[in-house]
Amino acid sequence: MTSRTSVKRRRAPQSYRLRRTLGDWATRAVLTAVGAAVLFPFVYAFFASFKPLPEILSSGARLLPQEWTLDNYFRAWEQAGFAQYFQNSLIVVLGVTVFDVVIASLLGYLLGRNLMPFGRTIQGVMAATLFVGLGTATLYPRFVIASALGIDNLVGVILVEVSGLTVIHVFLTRAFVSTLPMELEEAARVDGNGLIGTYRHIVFPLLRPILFTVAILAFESAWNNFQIPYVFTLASPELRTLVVGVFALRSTEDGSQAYDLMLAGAMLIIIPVTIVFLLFQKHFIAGMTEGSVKG
Amino acid sequence: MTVLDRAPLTRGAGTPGGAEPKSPAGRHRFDGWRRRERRLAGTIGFVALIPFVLFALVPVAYVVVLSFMRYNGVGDPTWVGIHNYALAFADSSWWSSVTNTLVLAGGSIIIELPLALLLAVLLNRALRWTSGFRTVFFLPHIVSIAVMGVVFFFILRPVDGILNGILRGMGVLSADVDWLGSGPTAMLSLILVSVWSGFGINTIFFLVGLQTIPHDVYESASLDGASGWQQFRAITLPMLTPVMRIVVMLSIVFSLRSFDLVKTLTNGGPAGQTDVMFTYLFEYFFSLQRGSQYGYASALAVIASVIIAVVSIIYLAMSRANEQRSDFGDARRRRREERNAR
Repeated sequence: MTSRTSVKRRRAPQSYRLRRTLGDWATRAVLTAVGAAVLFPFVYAFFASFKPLPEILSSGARLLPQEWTLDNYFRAWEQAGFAQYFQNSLIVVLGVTVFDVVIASLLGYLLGRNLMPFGRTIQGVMAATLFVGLGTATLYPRFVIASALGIDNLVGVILVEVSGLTVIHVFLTRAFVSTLPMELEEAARVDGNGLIGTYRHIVFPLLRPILFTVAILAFESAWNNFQIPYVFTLASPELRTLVVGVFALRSTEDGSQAYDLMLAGAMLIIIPVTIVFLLFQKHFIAGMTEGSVKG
Repeated sequence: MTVLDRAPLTRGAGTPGGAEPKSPAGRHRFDGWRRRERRLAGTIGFVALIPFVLFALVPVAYVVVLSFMRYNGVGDPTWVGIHNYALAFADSSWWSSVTNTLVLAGGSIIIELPLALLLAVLLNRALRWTSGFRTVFFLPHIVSIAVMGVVFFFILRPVDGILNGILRGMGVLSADVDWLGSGPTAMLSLILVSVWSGFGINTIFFLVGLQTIPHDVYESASLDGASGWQQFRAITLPMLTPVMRIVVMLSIVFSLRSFDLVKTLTNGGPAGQTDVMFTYLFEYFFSLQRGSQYGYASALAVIASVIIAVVSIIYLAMSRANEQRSDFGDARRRRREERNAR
């Protein structure tokens, strides 16, 4: 037995440590519970997509299929038009990403270095549209203008989606441009490069990190977009993207019949974007938090 | 800025040594070159702006003009002045969908923000094997909310549905509930699903904010014997004020703009009881029953945009006013006193 004071000294940190350990486990418990709630719809929909239709309709809360089948996927792909929808989604994603990156890098550079006439005014107008809020309110005129130009098809979908992304992505790029040192551009000018040469050989390569983030954001947005392709394909089902295709199955009068195809279709959308997210998580999180703060 | 961007051009203008061209001739050559380059930059820039102008700027003007017209897509639009607005103010279904929008926005923000703040504080403790949760919480944000609307439509199925099955299995429910079949439960479902999809990004915002608070503030507070809760009230909350303002602002704007989730989960049903502003006016533009009333739909679109702007401005004004008297000053004073006491 030691003296009283030393006992006290030993006991105090012990109770402190105990409280801390309890706190740690409570923290983990809360996080796990919320995490489970987040994952629950994904997990259920994933396993249900491998159940035959009668089992989907009758199995209630049973998680795992009693009878595993890939039939839902085959029928969605071959009969329900998802092969076509998948192709349309790829075209839209590719078009949006390429246009968006080119536009963001050009305008981000020109506005960031103040090379354009009326640069300030243009930025002011762009910022103002963020307040107005595009989206649903202007869907109709966007479609009408595309029709008038004869591009009420996937080209129109691409350009309309790009027009909505331009502002935030240009501002992201412009902010990045202003962190770049001028010396490299100056050196390129000394070497006899013009505007385009400097952009191609110096600026574009330097912008690669932010443009990668922009591309990821463009991919995510185009892959998931619902409104724009929905309105553009109301009259032409063969142009539907995956998201619109899945919604079309939900909204038919006999929708109860198509849960099998609907779930398989949903997985065709969720799985690719989740994989891309897991691979490039940092770009997603950084881009989306910064993008929405600026937006 | 102008000084900066003139610098490389000056050097490029035929003076390899980088010296300023002093002679008038040099200046001239430089000016012509500069003007040509600005014209080139302007041309490229305006071409790059075409999609934005054509599909973002012009449509805004188009909707505003159309809101003063009567137009059904056939024939010419006729000018009717503020008739559409007068109709809208008398349209009780419209105002009930405005109310629904506010309920949805308010309900999801009230649940979402405290939850996101709690989770951010927990994540900020940086325990072992908790970093993966950030990924999990963010996941709903990168998956199409339209698709998740359809998935939740399936999960909430009344007969032999998944959620009913689970809740009955746990003994919470004794009979199946038709979640989307009645107004209040359908609205509750919408609120919970939008919390599900939105709390993750707010957690990240708060986490970023928490990580900017210096450690020594907490250290000196705990030396002075402040409990965890006191530290949270006196340090964490006040120092999160700037982030909080951004998060609340974004949450308000995003939830007032709701369309995709409502369209795909309840489609405004049952009987329009969960219609929000944008699903309601969408019908006047595009649906088969009410559709093609473009003038009226445009007026509703303008009103909706104004409502969003007004709510945002009210919030901004309130949070400014709040800041002036709030515990932020309090906490600062307390901290100053703490420092003086030592």
